Parts: sequence; structure tokens; C-alpha cells
Amino acid sequence: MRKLTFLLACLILVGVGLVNAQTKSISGKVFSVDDGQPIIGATVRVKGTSNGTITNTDGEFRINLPENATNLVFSYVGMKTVEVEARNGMTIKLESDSRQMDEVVVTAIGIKRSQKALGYSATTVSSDEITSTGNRSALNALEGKVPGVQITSASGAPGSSTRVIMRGFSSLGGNNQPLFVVDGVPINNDVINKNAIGSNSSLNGGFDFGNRANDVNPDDIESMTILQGGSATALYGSRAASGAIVIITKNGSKANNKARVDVSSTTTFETPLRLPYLQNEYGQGWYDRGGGTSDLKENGSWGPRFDGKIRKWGFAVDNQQQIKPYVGLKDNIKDFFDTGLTLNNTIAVSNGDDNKSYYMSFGNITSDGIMPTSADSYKRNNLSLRGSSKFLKIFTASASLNYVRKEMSFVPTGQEQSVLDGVWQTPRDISIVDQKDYNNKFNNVDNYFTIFAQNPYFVLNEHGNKFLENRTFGNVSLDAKIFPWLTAKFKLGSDVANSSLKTWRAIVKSTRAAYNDFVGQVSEDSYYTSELNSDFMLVVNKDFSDDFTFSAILGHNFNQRDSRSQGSSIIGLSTPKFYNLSNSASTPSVYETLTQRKLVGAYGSVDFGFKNMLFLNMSARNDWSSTLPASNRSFFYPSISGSFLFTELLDNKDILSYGKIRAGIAQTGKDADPYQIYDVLLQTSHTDGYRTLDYPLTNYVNGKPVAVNGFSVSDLIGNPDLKPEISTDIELGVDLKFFKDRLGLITTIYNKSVKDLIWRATVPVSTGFAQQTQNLGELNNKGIEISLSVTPIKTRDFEWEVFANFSKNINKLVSLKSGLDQISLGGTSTIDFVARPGSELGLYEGTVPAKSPTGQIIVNAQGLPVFSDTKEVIGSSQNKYRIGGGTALTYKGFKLHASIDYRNGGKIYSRTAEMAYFTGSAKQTTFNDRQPFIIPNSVQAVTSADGKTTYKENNVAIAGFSNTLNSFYDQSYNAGIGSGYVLLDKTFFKLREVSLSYSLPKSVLSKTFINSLELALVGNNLLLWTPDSNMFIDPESTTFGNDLAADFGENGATPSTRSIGFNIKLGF
Amino acid sequence: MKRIKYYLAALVTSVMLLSSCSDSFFNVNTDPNNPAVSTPTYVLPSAISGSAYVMGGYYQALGGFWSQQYGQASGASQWIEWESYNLTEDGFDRQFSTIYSGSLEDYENVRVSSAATANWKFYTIATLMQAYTFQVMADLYDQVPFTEALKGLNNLQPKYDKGELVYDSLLARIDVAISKDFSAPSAQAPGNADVIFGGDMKSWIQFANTLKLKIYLRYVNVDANLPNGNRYNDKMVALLAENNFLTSDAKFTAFKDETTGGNPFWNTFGDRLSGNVVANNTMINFLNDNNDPRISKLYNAAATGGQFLGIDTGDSKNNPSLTISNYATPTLLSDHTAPVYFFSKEEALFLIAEAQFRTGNTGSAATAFNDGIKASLVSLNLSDTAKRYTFDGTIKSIIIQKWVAATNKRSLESFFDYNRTGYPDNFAKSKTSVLNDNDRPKRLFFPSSERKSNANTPKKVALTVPVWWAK
Repeated sequence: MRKLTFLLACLILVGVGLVNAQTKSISGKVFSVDDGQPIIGATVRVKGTSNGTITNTDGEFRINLPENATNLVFSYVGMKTVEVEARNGMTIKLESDSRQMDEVVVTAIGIKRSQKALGYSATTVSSDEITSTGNRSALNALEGKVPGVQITSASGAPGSSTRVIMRGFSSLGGNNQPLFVVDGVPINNDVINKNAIGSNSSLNGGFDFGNRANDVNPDDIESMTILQGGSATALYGSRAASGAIVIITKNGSKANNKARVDVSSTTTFETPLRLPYLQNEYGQGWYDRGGGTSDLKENGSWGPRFDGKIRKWGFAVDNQQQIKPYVGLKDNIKDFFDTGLTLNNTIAVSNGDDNKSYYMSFGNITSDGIMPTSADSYKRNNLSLRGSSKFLKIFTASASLNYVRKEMSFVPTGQEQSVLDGVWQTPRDISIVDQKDYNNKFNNVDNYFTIFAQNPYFVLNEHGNKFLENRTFGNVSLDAKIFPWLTAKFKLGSDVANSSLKTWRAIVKSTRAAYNDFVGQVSEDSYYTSELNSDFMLVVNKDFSDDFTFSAILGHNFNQRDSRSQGSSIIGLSTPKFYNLSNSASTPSVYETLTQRKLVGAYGSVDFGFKNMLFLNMSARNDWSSTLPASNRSFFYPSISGSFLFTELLDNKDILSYGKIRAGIAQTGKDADPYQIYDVLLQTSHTDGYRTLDYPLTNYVNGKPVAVNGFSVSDLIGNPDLKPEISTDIELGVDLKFFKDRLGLITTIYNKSVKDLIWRATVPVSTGFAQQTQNLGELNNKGIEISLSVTPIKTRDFEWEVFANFSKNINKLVSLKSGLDQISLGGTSTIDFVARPGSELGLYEGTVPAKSPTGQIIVNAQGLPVFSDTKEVIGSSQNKYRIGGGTALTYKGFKLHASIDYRNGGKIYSRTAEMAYFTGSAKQTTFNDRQPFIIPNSVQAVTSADGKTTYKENNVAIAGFSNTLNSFYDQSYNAGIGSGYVLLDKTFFKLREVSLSYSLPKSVLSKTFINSLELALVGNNLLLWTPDSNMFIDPESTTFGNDLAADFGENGATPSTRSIGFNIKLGF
Repeated sequence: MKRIKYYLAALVTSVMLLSSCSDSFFNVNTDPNNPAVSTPTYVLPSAISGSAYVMGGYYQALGGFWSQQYGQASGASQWIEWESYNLTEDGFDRQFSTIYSGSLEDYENVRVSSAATANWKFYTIATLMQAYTFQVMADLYDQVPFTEALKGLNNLQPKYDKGELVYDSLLARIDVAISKDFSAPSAQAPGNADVIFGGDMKSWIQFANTLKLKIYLRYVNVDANLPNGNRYNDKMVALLAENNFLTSDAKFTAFKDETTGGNPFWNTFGDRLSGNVVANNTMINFLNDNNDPRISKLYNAAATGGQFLGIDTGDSKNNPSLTISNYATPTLLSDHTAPVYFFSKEEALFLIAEAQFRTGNTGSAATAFNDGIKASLVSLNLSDTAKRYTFDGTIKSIIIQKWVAATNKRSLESFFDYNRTGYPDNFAKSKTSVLNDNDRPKRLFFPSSERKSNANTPKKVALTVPVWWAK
């Protein structure tokens, strides 16, 4: 920091005239009061002149004093300026000044404002914090670092998406993701996560090709500012109703006309962070077949107890059969996974000064995940160019261009020939890796040991997908300083992405059993999205006096988003292993979808400051959206916020060095998705969830084929009365710094109410429709965010910093339109994901055992609990609170940095757990040594001839090996242990990041061409702790997209990963 | 320099003022991907195929299981809960949705648009097929949304109507539909849009008469205490005298030998969820006992062993060493383009036989009975003399023949016939039944999708409670 200041000071002094000849020379030394160390780069100026110098690396200075001058002025960033009479050999001590430490924050629409003037909380994360572990995703690097922000990475699959939720869910449908703004222009954050091939249900697997905000190269980022509340984001308008992340990229302006090259290189190795803890007592077999003897074609571990004897396994092929000892293989799943490898390299060249600058960089990431083969891989190339220049005195032009090319392959999640389904369905005694050669006669499609699942190596190698994306985003801007107090700014940004996705599945044809047979499939999809955004604004800065400052903004925003997607697919391949749309005798299915939406906004904002102590901001914006009916198209929302620096009134700031109270109230509006207003018809397609009947059809009339096309009334009924969603956000906070800023405390409380929630509600199908986009309720989030930073030790060589943050958000669906007692947010057939008035969003509703009037569990003739007539809420997906934190220890060139993330409360659905129970691999299934047991306190219902129901004590045991035991652990058709068994505790503690770095001292590097060299050992997600009730998964996992529905859980997500590696940062 | 500044200031001001936008600028919210209106030519086939898709798919399968034509194979377990009658409320949600928000709504769309333009042929076809479909839903659920259904925004919470009221209304609608003037110049020829009869309105009148006869016969239990045993006795007599019933199949045939275009039973039950559906011993034993040649046309012999081995209902877990290859399987399982039948020719004849018998014409009943069996054999490419059963003057003999002939075609109707008449009386008790004693399901639960979204959904009713016309 001090070195940087040295450079800055040098800059400032450019242009300072040479000193007068009639002088005397004065020398001296400048120290810091805080730590007693010399201050390097402090400015020494002769009072009343422009003559000056700066202190050297020992804090010493020498200056020539003109005859008529007596006093010297000493100043340094963050220190109080001191004026002293000059004398030779003088020693000056500077003390820190918290007022001057005030940071400058980039706020909405790119306006830089001083932190103290903000009436809301805004957290800025610096480049160092983002890149310390070489994470490919700047968003993942924020995990646990910002209070109030919940960041969740979907899975361990390379390139998968990251979800960012600020201050709870504020929208039901639409989009709860913040607006991502890069250098003043919003960028697209879509996730391309089409359902897996051959599937028309989100449960039967899907792809996740990442959210696009993750395309920004973290090494290009200078800072990220997180704006959460309505007061902070109001000027961005409706698109930032869920918050905004303002990303400022690096430019060359600090290079001081000395071109610099920065190289960053990270290599990390990934291993699964959490694999299920499974039982190792019982092996292959099924509960109701063979009465406890092994059944060699089964996909479960409901067989006999391990005895270590040599047994046959698998099918007999050519009169041969394999043998192996009948023992549990503790690591059979762990052994299946590979070590992933990620290489992340960036080289950047930059130069510039205050008047002109350029920056260019090239980044490359190559990642192959933990699945064997390269079926899970991610390659990204980033090319960034930007530059700016001042000209004709009043103009500043700048431009930025980013090109991203991504190539990905993703291993589909969920059911139906998924890799993990094959893994989970391997009995505990069977080695998975031994079946790697899937062409071997014992392991091939015909003879794979179980007829109920597929060899995961076959799936990995023979089915596949390839995603390719070319994306360009950037902006051009022109500022004109028309008058000293008036600047006009125009910025035009664009973000265009072209993507293509090819997926294919091989023909599967087994002579032994047809369960897995498939005719083969190919699909090709292409996606185009474009976003055009312009902002024109006038910025006024007119301070009426030293005490009274004023600034204002008047602006206009235009935003247009277009998308186009097209796709074709064929089912039923002619030539095996040839994947092209031509390779089928069947009619290809085709689709195209175009969307366009336009948004225009006009906004204004005024800021008043009084005596650097009282600040007031008022702003308002009006949006016009094309997606709403004409009568409701225009919506207006104001905001007001202020802050009071009460420490300005204090004389002594030794204990309380900085204190600010802030408050704000703001409204924000939000529009709907396009095409929700009018009824339409769709080309007809019928489905039963497994297969489809797609138009056009071919009918036969008198034996001759006749083509028939069909259109069917869309299930979505239009809503001509749709209104914008309006949120009202109140925020109060206190920012305090103690002991000369060694201790900092920021506390914020907020209350955000959203009215007229827009949601695609279910309407009864008996209306002839199934859904309608409605304004159907009110939602509230209130919460508290506290962040604390402490610097217990700070000397010249050693510094220890600790930071921690706490967030608690209470989310509540306040009301729903009359007639609705709940809405469905998704879920599976056994567990619904719902929202009910009076509770938080994201409740799990499941079947529960029926109870007799006296509270006893009712069981059926098999001794298994029967379903209660109604489903009940059996858990919530929402965390109770979250704690993030970290520490940094710096000793000379060494720096140890670590961060943690703890989230408490809530549940998560896990298909991984469900499969472990189903297959008898879960430890819980060894309950009672799998011997018969009667459910305690259970009764059977007896209906007498006159229709009366009485209850008698149940004496039917749930049979052990012979029958029904599995049914107890499978809630498809009886209430078993209660459907809550697939809900795991979401609580976790993670050691997110650890890095140990060493920067070579300048003294060593000074003889080389190298400016800086930092070597680091880095680790991400090193430790995961979960409560005992979760023996299965990393509870961050999800396969349900990137928004509210993602909170439901995982439907077979690739395990998240622990990564360990090293990082080199080189500057020259 | 100064001048530039003023130009800039002027430009700035004008841009700001221009930011008020005209409406046409924003008029981009009309879905370019899907039409706002279509014509009956495209909506009618969609509606009919929706009915066919459900009735020929899940409903055909359920009917087959519950009338013991089909069984769940060992070695798989997809349909074991249908056999144990252990249904959940959401088990048939998708079918209910496909029918209501799909085909019934599409019929309604055709009815409304064609009534407005006096396009009577389309109107009549849509009305008859909608009535046919409504009746199936009323028979499965007893109470269904009807008078307030399909009204979109005008009624987002349709009430449920009693089945009897639905029936009355359907009969009235059928009569209105067939009274329309098909020769009116405004009546377009449906041509190929009528995927059942190619626009032949005579066939649709026959369809209407057959449907009415089917409806009339549902009243035999309800009106048992009336003098003639049926409030529609006179109408039934008149209808029989007019004798203008279907003489050919009313079937949907527009299937392709493709995964996205095949017969829904083949596609889902035969191909996608292969290994589950096999022959049921109840039917296999009947055919074997009577040396009926249809056995080899209704079922494929077991892949392993070549026998016509069936399975008992609910017996799938007791033969762990057997899989589907050891059993005979329904031929429909392997027929990619098998039609879906709304009425088969033989079903019409068995309806006539029963109506004739119930109205006292045993001779005519016997003729129709024999013709029905003949039609069944012919439809299976067997000689019409291959097998004779004798009409013994009982309802039972008619219904049993109807049951055999309905295999792979109209299995759900056999389920209704059993509920109505108690025949066939050879049904075995399911070995895994969760119901008491010999209880069998008589209806479906109200869909959970309706329960979640429609406050007017009636309380849950046990599966064993008969629908209004059933025994």
C-alpha cells in the first residue's frame, strides 16, 4: 500500500516546479505514531509554494527551503496532515486519520461515491481476495465473504453454475439473481441447462453449462462491489430488484507509463469432497427375492451378510463365471472417481496514466473433472482488450471488448442411464473400476452384472455431449466535461453469445433384459442471446460552499434483450455410433423460439452533503417495459437514503474513530417475462412423462398416408391484467470503527416487502388451462447482517487480520391471492416443494404415516405404515443463519489466508440418499441387523360391516430379508419411515479457502527484470463438516437450476470437489 | 470550444426529452413462436389425438390390469401398485391434465369457434368426441368439473358436478349436435382433419347412436326399481329400432413407427418401460379352457419356451427366477402403430346385444352376440367360424365376450363393465391387494393437482366406493 502511495505521490508531483535557487537544505525523517515505523512516500511540501518532495524508503527526506518560507506541511494518505516549522534534522510523527481512510465505492450506474456518504451498505471485494486461490469463478471466490449474500455452487462438475442470492428470495418466479454489471454495463447471466436428452422431465437428468456471470476472468477484475438493498440499486432499475454486483475491471491507468506484464498461473487437483458413507456389512441381493441369498443380477445390497467366502458373481458367459470373495469394498465408489486437474493461466499487459491507458489480457482455463474420461471437462479462453483516452480537453473515450470461448462436456445428472445411477446401484461387494473395460464380455451391455442398471463406464464413453459458446461483451463510452460542474456521459454496451449444444446417446440393445434398451438419439441445439444497453446521463457536481456539497444525475436507459434458440433431434439411429441428424429413419423433432423484450428507464438522483457529516440522497426512476400490458407498462419508484457521521462531532477519536448511522427506504419495480399476456396455441405434443406423441402425424386414409398437423390451446392462460412487482425496502445501519480503525463493525438491518409477486401459478386443469402468470401475493424478507473486522496485531513486518460476518434472513410469504392455500415450486412425485402463506418459501411437503385418533401409527397388512390422507410440511429448505469469516496473517513476504463458511439450518432433498436407501447401501438400512421388527406403537385399522373403523394392536413385523424390508426404506407406495428420510440437514461448515503465499522481496528482484513474484499453495473447499444426519452429500449441491427451485436439492449431482494446488503470480 | 459545449448541452436535453416512447415501440410482446388463433382444422385432430393418447395409453393399461387381461411380470415392478390397488392421489394427474387442459379444452375451442361460424360438421364432431371423453372421466372419477369447466379466466375454480348431471347434459349435447344442419354452406368439410371418419357425417351419427346406447346402459343399476329398469328404456327401444349404430371401428390410426409418434401403449409400456406387462392368467385360462384361437392373436407366446404362460394378479414377486421372457405378452406391446379404439365394431354389437336382451328381444340379442364374436375374430384375422360361443340368455355371457374382445382394444371399458354388471365373475383376488377381503377399486382418487389448485375438489373418496351407476 505504501509503495503504491509512493507511486501516486510521484505522479502528483509531476509538474511541480524546480525549487528556487536561494534556499537552504533541510533534512528529516517521518514516522508513524501507530507503529513507530518510518513512513515511505509521505509528501513534504513547503507551505505557500508548490515545492515538495517525498520521503524515501527509510522515511527520510531532504528539501530546499526558500528564504521567505518557514513551515513544512507533511501529509500522507490516511494520516492527518501536519504543519511544522522547518529545521534541519527534524523528526515528524503522523497519526492516522480515519476520515481520510474513507473508501470510494462504485455505486449504481457506475457513480463513484465516498463510503461515508452512503445511506446503505455496500461491500467491496478487492482483486486480491478474488484471486487468492486461483478460482476459475469470481463468484465462487466470494463464498462466505459478504454478509447477506448466499453463494452456492451447484456441483463439482467443471464449469457448473454458481447461484447468488442477496437478502433472501424476493421473487417467486422470474429471477432472484442479482444484476451483474461489468464496467457499467449489465451482462447476461443466463444458465444453459437444458434437460437431458431423451427426457422431458427435469427429474430425469439435466445439464448445467454454467451461469454466464462466471465467464468473467477473475484475473481481470479490479474490484467487485456488492449492492444489496433497494436504496443501493434503485438507479439500476427493475433488473437489479434482487441486488447488483458491480464489477470493475483492471485498466492500465495506474501503470505510470511503465508497461507492465502480469502472469498468473494456477494448477489445482480436485478430489471428491464428500462421498456417501455406506454400509459394508451386506452385499448383493434384493429384499424379496431369494430369501436372503445372493441374487447375482440385482442392483442392491439387500443380500446376505458378508462372510468372506469366494463366490461367483455376475452372469455366466460362454460357460464361464467370475469369482470373488464376498466382502464389502469400502472404497468401491471412491475408487471410481479420478483426480481432476485444472490449469488456470492469465497473462495481462497494461500501461497508462491519468490521461490514457490500455489493458489486454488472455486467460485460459482447462479443467477435467473427477469423473473418469473427459466427459466432464471445461475449457475457457478469455480475451480482454480495453483502453481509454482523453482528448480535446473535455472528452474521455473508452472502450472495452471481452471475448469468451467456452467448450464444455457435462455428465448428465438424475435418472435414466446416468453415470451416478450406475454407481449408486453397484452392490457393496462389487468393484466398479474392475468393470472399466465395458467391452469385456462380462461387463458389456448384454452381460453387465445387473439387468437393472447400466455400466457407468459405458454411459461415460458412449453417451456424450458437447457445448460450445462464443461470447462477446463490451462497451464504448464517451464522457464530456461540458462545464466544470457538468459532465455528460454516454455508454453503449452489448453482450452477444452464440452457443451450440450437441448431445447424443448410443443405441443400447441387450439380449438379456430390455430395461435399458434405447434406440439411440442425437440432438443439436443452438442458442443466441443478445443484449443491448445504453445509458445517457448528465452528472452535476456543484458544491455551494465547503460545508454544503451537491451533486445530481439525470439519466436515460435503454435495454433490449433478444434471444433465439433452435433445435432438432432424432430418436432411433440407423448406423450405430454415428451421431448426425441425418442418421435416422424417423421424423426429426424441431423447434424454434424467439424472444424480445425492451425496457426504457428515466432516472434522476440528487445528493446533498453538509459539513462532511450529513448526507442525503434522493432518487427516482420510471421504467417502461414491453413485457407488461400497455396499461401497466409504466411504473415509477422512488428512494431516499441518508447518513450521519456522528464522530465528526467528537473531539477525541482515539477509541471511536469512525461512526456512521445510515438509513434508507426505496422502492423497486420488476417486470415479467415476455409473452405472458395473450393466449396462444402450440403445435401439439402429448406426453405421459415417458414418451411423446409429436405432431405432425401421418394418418392413413384408404391406405394412403396423409400428413396431419395440429395446434393445441396452450396450457398457459394469458393475463391481460398483469402488473409489475413492486418491492419496498427499508434499511438501517451503523458503521463503527474503534481504536484507530483496528476494530470495525458494520451492522445492517433491513425489511423488504414485495407486493404483487409475479409467478406462473398453477390453475386447476379443469379450467382448460394449467398455468397463468399472476400477481398473486406478498413476500417479506427481514434480516440482519453484521460484519466485524479486527486487526489484533499490526507492526511493520507482521500483521494479523480477522474478519467475520453473520447473516440472518427471515423470509415469509405473507399472503397469497384468495383461493390459494399454497403454491407449488417444484419437487418430485413423493416430495413437493411448496410455499405457504405465513411461512418461508421452499417448504418440503411429503407423505407422512397415517395416525389413529390416539396418535398411533397405522400400518397395513404387511406391517408397513400407510399414508396419511394429506401430505404435510416436513421441513424447510431455508438456512436459519450463516456465518462467514477468515483470517490473514502477513509476515514480511509471507501471507497465510483462510476463509470459512458456516450455514445453519434447513433441509435439502437428496436423490443420492434416496438411492442409497433404495439399494440398501445406506448405513441406516442395517437397522436391527435387518431382522424382522414391529413398528413400535403401531395399529391396524379394522373396518367392520357397518363401516366403522376401529384399531387393533399391530403384530405384523416388517419382515427382514424375506420381504417388505426394502419397502420400509422406499416411500413410493407406503409411508415407511416417513418421507423425511430423503431430506438431509443442510447445515454445514466448510473450510473454503486456504492460501499460503510468499512474495519475493524487492531487494532480491531488483537485479532482475522481474518486478514482483508471488508463489502460493492454494486450496478450495478443503474441509466439509456436516451433522451426523447427513452421511451422503455436500448440502450445497443442486441440480435444479440457478434460482429458487435450486434450493430443493440434488437429483444426482456430481459430488463437489476439494481442490489443492499452487499458484504463481509474476509481474515484470 | 464553447460552441461545442452548447451543442452538447442541446443534444443532451433533446435526447432526454425524447425518452418518452410511443406504444408501438413496446409492442413486441406478441409471441412470435406460437399463433394466437388457429382453425378447427388443426385443433380438432389435436383434441382427438389427446383423447386417444390417454385412453390408448395409461387408461388402456390400467383397464388391462384391473380387468385381468394384463399382469405385472416378475423381475420388474413398475405396475405392482396398480395390482395391489395401492394408488396415490397423484398417480393419474398427468392423464387428467392431458384430458382436461388438452383434449377437452381443444374440443371446446373447436365447439366455440365453429358454433360462431355455423361450421356444423366440425361442431358436431368436437361435441361428440368431447362427450365421449367427458363420459370416461365421469366414469373414472364419479364427480368431475363439467358445467363450470373449460371456462378459462371466467372460472378459475370450477365446481365438481355429479356424474348423473354430467350424463344428462351429455345426452342433451349429443342430441343438439346431431340435429345440426350439415348441408349449410357454412359447414366446412372436415376432410383429413377428421382423423377418425375422414369427415363422413353418417359415421358420426352412428357414433352418436352407439355412444347414446353405451350411456343408456349405464343406468341399469341406478334405475333397477323402475318398471322397465331404465329411465331411457323407451329411447333405447327406439334407438334399437332405428338400428343405425357403428358398423365399423371408430379408431385413431395416425401413428408412426417412431419413438415420438408411435402407439402410446407400445411406446411407453412396451418400449420405454419394457419388461413389465405380461398376460394375466385369468384371461389366459379362459382362452385355454375354451380353446379359443384368439389367444395367439391377443398375446405373443413367451420368448423363452414358446408357451402362453400368464401370471396371477399380484404374483410378480413370487417367481424371482422368471422375467418377461418367460411369459406370454400382449400383442399390443409390440405393435408400434396399433390403432386406439374409441369403439370397435364388436363392442357396438355387444352393446346392441345387451340392449336387445334388456329390452326383451333375446333373439336379436343372440344375433348381435354372434355377430360380435364374429367381428372380434375377423378383426384378429381369424376365420369368422373359428370359434363359437353360445349365447345362454344371460348378461354374463355377453359381458364375458365383450371382455375377451376388449383385450388390447378397450380394456378400460371392461373395467367399467365389471363395475356395472359384476362380470366377468372369474376375477382372481390380487395376491398383493391392500384392500380388505375381495374389495376391488371402483374409481380413481380425485387428482392431487386439482386438490392443490382447486378448492372445490371434493373430499377424498376410497377407491372401493362405486361410482354413481356402479354396483
